Amino acid sequence: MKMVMDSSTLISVSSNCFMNVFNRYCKKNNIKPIITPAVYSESISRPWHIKRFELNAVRIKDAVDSGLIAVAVINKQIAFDSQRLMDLANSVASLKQRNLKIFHRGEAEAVALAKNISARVLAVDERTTRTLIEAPQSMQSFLTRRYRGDVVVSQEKAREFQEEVSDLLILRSTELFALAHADDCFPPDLKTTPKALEAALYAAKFGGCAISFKEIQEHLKKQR
Amino acid sequence: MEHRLIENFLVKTKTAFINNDVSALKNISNEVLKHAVIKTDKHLAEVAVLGYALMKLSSKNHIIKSSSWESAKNKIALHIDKTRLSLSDSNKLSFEKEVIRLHESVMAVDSQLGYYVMNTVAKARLKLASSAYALGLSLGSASDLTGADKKELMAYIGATTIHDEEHVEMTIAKRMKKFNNLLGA
Repeated sequence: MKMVMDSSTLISVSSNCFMNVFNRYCKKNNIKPIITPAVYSESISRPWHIKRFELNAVRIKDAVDSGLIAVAVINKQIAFDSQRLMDLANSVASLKQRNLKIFHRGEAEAVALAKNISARVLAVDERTTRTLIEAPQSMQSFLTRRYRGDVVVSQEKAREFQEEVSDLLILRSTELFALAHADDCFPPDLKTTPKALEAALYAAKFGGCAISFKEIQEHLKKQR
Repeated sequence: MEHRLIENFLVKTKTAFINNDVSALKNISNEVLKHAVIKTDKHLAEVAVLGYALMKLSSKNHIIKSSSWESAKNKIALHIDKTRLSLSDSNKLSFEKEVIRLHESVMAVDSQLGYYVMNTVAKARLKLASSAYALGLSLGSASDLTGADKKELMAYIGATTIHDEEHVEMTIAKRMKKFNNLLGA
C-alpha cells in the first residue's frame, strides 16, 4: 500500500527515533512510504549542512537509501494538479476580500502526488492540510476566532476542494506509532507496554503533531 | 511590496526601540505579522521579525546595561533609517539587502552580548512562524513566510497550546480502524 508522507510526519518519526519501528511496521504490512522531492529537500538536503539539524537529515537519508522511503518524480500532471489544488485551497478563506494563502506548495504537492499515484493515505502532522482535507467548513469558526471576525469561508470552494481529496485518509505520527504498537513493532527498540505507547504519543505531540492532550488521554483510557 | 505600510511600521519600530518601549515593540511586531499573513508579504514579515528581535534584546538586563549597548543601539537605529530610505528605490533588492544588514546589526549584539547559541533573529522567526501557524497558515506557509526552520517550528508549536484548542474530527482509534480496513481491502 502506498502512503505519501509530508515532511511534518517524517520529521516526527525520525526525530523521535522511531525510524526502525516505522521500518518494521511498513515491512510487516507491505506499506510503501513515498515522499516528494520538496520533502526530500526540506528533510535532507537543506538540514544536511546545518550542525543543529544534520542528525535528523542523516537518519532520513538512511531510510531513503535503504529503500524504506521512495522519492517520487513530479511529472507535469502532478505539478499541474498541485498548482490547481493550492489555488483552490487558497481561495477557501478570505479576509477583507483578500484570499488567505494558507496552503503551501510543498503540502499541495504531497496531496497532488497522493491523488496521482492513487495512494489512499497521506501522513501529515500539521493541522491546516488535515483540516482542509477533512473539514474545510470548520475553518470558519477557527479563523473567525483568530481574526476576531471578518473572515469569510467559501463553502462552495471548501466543498470543491474536499471533493478532490475525499478518498484520502489522513494519518498523523500518533496513529503511526499507535498502529506500530498494536502490531507489536516496538521491540527491540521499546517494549510493547501501555507506558511505551503513552510516551510515544506524547513525544509526537510535543514534537509538533497536531493533536490535543484530550485526544491522547481518551485514546489511552480506552487502551486500559 | 507594501511600501507605505512597511515604512510606517519601520518608523513605529524605531521610535519604540529608541524609547526602550518593550511592550510597544511587541504590539507592533504582532500587528505587522497579521498584515504579513493576510497579504502573504515576506517583506512585512521581516519587519515583524525585526520588531520582535529588538523587543527581546531590549528586555534583557545584561544587554541594556552593557557599556556597548548605546552604540549598538545607535547603529541599529541607523540601519532602520537606511532600510526605510531604501524603500524609495523602486528596486526591492536594495530593500532586501538593507534588511539583511539590519538583521546582521541585531545579530552582532547577540554574538557580542548574548548567552545563547541560537541568535535572537532566528528565535524571532520561530516565534512569529508559530503565531502565523496559529493564525491558520499551514506549517509550510508559516515557515516560508518567516524563514523559520520547519523542524524547529514543529518543536516550538509542540510546546504551545495551539493544538489543544482544536475540534477533534476523527479519533486516533477511528483513523487506525479506517487504515486497517484499507490494509485489509
